[in-house]
Amino acid sequence: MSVTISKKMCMIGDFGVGKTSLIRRFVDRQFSDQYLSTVGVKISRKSIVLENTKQQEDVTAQLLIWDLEGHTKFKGIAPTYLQGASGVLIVADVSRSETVERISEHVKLFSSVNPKGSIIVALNKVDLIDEEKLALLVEISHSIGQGKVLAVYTTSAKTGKDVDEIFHKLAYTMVEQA
Amino acid sequence: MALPKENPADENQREGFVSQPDESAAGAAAQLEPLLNLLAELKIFAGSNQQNAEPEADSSSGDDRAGALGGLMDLLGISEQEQQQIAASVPVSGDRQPESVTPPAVADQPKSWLFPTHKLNNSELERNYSSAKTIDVSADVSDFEIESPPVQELPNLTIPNSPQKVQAEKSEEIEASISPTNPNATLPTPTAPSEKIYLDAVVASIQSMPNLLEEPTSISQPTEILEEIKQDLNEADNAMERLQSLIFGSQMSDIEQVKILLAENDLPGVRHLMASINDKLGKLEHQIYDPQELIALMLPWIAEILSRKISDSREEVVNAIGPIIDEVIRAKTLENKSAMSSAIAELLPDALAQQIVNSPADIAKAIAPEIGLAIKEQIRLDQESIAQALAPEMGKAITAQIALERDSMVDALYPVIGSTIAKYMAEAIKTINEKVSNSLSIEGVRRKIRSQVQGVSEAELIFRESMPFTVQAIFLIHKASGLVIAEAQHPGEYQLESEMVAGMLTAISSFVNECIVQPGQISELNQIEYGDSKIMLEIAGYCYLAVVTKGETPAPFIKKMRQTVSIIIINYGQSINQFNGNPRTISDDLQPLLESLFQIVTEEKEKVSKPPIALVGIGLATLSLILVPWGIYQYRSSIDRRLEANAITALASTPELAVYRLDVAVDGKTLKLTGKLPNQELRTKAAKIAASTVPQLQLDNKIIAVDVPPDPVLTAAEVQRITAVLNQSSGVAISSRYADRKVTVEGTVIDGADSQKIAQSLKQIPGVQSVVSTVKLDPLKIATRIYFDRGTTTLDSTYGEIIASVKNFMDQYPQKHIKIIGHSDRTGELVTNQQLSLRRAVAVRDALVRQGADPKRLVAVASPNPPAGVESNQPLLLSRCVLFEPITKTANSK
Repeated sequence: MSVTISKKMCMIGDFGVGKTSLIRRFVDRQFSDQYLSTVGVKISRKSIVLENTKQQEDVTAQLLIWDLEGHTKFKGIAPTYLQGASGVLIVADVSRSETVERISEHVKLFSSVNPKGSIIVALNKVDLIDEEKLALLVEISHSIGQGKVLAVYTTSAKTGKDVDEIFHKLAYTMVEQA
Repeated sequence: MALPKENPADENQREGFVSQPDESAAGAAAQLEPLLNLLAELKIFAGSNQQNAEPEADSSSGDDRAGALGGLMDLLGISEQEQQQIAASVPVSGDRQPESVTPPAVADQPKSWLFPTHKLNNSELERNYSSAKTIDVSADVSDFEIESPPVQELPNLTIPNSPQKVQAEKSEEIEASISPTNPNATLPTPTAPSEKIYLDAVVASIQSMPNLLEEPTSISQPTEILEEIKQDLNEADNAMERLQSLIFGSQMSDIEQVKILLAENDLPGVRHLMASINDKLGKLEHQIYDPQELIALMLPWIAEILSRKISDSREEVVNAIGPIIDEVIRAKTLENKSAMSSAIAELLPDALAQQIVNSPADIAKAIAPEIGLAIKEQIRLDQESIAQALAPEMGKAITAQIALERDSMVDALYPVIGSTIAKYMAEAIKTINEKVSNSLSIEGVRRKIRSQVQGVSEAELIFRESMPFTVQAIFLIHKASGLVIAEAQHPGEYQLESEMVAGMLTAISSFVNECIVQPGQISELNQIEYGDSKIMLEIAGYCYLAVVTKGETPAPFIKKMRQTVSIIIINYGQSINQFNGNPRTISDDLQPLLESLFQIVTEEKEKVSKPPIALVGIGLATLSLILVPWGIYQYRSSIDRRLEANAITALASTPELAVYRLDVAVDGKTLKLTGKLPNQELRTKAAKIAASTVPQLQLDNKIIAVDVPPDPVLTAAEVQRITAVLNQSSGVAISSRYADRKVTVEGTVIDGADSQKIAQSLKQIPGVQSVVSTVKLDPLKIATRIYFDRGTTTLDSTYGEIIASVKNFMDQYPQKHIKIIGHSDRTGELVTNQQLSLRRAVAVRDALVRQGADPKRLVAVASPNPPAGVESNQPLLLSRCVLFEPITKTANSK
């Protein structure tokens, strides 16, 4: 016997860090180099089966992924979109260090709306930089996390590195938390 | 040494037990002044309460050995400097340092505080025990205990450095224990051994120290210390024995002998003492364990203890009581809820009021989260009362709550507000409907208006209305997350992806509030239309209902939809609020509730097929309502018409009335005659005729008798004719004018009656309404007089002419009588004159009668007065005369 638990999660981060690409990779198993700016919100859905959860039975997590318009200098992320989200993926672009620096801002914003929500950081586009630099950035983002961040993953929507893992981890945490 | 070791084991426990309940007593050491004084005297105890309290605090705060020992050292009167010196002098590190340090410091002391102890005789000891002041005693005694093991430990530790000193001390110690024996040996009570035993017996009371110090954790450590000390003691003993055998050799046997002697002689006594001590301890224990006794013991002091302690150190008391005060209250609440409630109840309003004054924000925060729930519950229980209670503060409270948490407020008020507004709107619409339906059909007018407003042709509207209404899907959506709580979709149709729809709707709603609505305000999306379909959103606090429909939404469906939301909020509000995506947390009853909305639609359809019958029925009823009264009216009026016709015929067949137009109307039971007739007689006649034709009806004669103005020329001629006729009569000389139906008469008449006669005659002429008479009365006079000579009554022949003229007058006015008045002059007797006057009048009458005048028309009288117009200065002749006065003999004729 299995149960389907729906969870709202959000993707936030600066514009062009690859939020939509990560979702595309995770949901549609596709990747495109073409950049298309997300306007407003795009909602995607993906169900994943979770094993070994607290619940006795199998749990299917139905993820409703809210892909929010990226944060820009001129426009922040609307807090109302974050309401009711159980978790968030904060995405940063390792090739643009300022996007990593702004992770703490996003953490703060999400925590203010959902104090109990789970936060995972994705350092995206790891295929673009070398290992050494990456290690440094991971360290920086860990320190930025302020203890609220569950984990920091290095991902690549292009290669598919850790993409499924990051969504699974977040889904698992959200379901367990409830 | 064997004996003391046995006893501590026993007493260890007792002391431990005893000291525990006595903690408070120990804390209030002040109460035990007598003993303290005593101890101060003995220089064992520092002497002041303060110092006694300090070690307690020390050891309670720190649980390391050094701390505990430091406290003990304080008790022993060893200053910190000394301790440090000692510590410095002994370069031993580790846990034992304090213990190993102690001996040198106290090495000089034993005598000083061992000897004074001997002053402590048996009775004093007993008194101390029996007065339940064991604590201090044991505490003090424990000093000995602490002291003595180190002394014995000393050899073990310090032997390499100063064997002599150790030896000396050891011997001293032995002396100390033995020397008192000799003086006391003779006494009946074996004080010295008892002393020693007592000291040893209370060795274990070191354990009571930590207990006294109210620090349970410190118990174990001192116990360890004790154990180590004991161990060291044993080692020391062994070492001692070896040392003794080395040093004293044979002397030892002497000591052994003494020991044996002591044991033999005094042991029973000691045992006895022990027994008595045990007994007393037992009593004490009993006192302490028996709550009643303990209470009785402590009762007089508790207040004092507390107040002193509080005044001494408030903080400590607070700290001591603090942790348990909530438990105390809770326990008391469990025990007697009502008493506790009444105790607190009095304070609550003031406390709340004070807190509201102090920090209104806190109170608001404390109460706010539950307000929504509380209101919801109360509304369910009694809607009226909540309204009354809230009314005065409603505005403020709602504002505050909305600021804090808007959604819960919406949920709380939704069920009430919806129905309230609906009720109000229903009434308003009802009145509007009434107005509209009075003129034309509601639907038609409404359609016309809508076509005007929307700029759509009426035909299109009719087409739109004829579109059947269907519900495609119903979603109950969690407002914050946009997750679907429950859904119902029309089976067999294209199934909507509920989660996506819900998410997107929520996003749109968020978008509207984020980007369209003015900052600070909140508006909700009501519906989204696309093609001939639309999504209606009914928004509550934590959730909203989205209904996807096609066609024109009927009003009952909207009503039902709102009711459903109300029911959902009231029954499932809590679980919806906390919805986390797991469908298991939501009641299964929600699903049928949503599906019931589909049923409404099908019912609606069924209803649609019915209308023709209902409509026809209503139409028939309306028609009959109109036709029946109309028919009755028609029938009744036809009867009336017939009656009217009869009456008219009858009136027309009467010749006098035929020329006049008369109307006859039958109204119910009255026959109304209207019209105009020239006079009253005709009017009456017409009434009579009408009444004779319809005798069953009451007659209402409204005919006006009109005054028809006659021909003025004829009237004027008639007036002239009558005037001429009147002028024929004697004395009448009048002329008349006729104008505006008014006759004006002028002229003179002789008789007043004539003027009346003239007026009446003229008034009778038809066409004359009024007569204005200015006719003057002109009476007839006979001016001639007949004079007489003085004293005579004979008539002169010259007066024949006058007589004749009077006779003529009488002939001319046959209706007139003549009064003949005789006068005389003023000379002579009055009576004579009177007779004279009368005779003169009679003479004239006779003359007239001789002329042929009718004597009946003649009256002769005498007047005593002079004749009119004759003054007294005029010749007397003028007074001797006869006058004629024509009179109308109407009154006097009889």
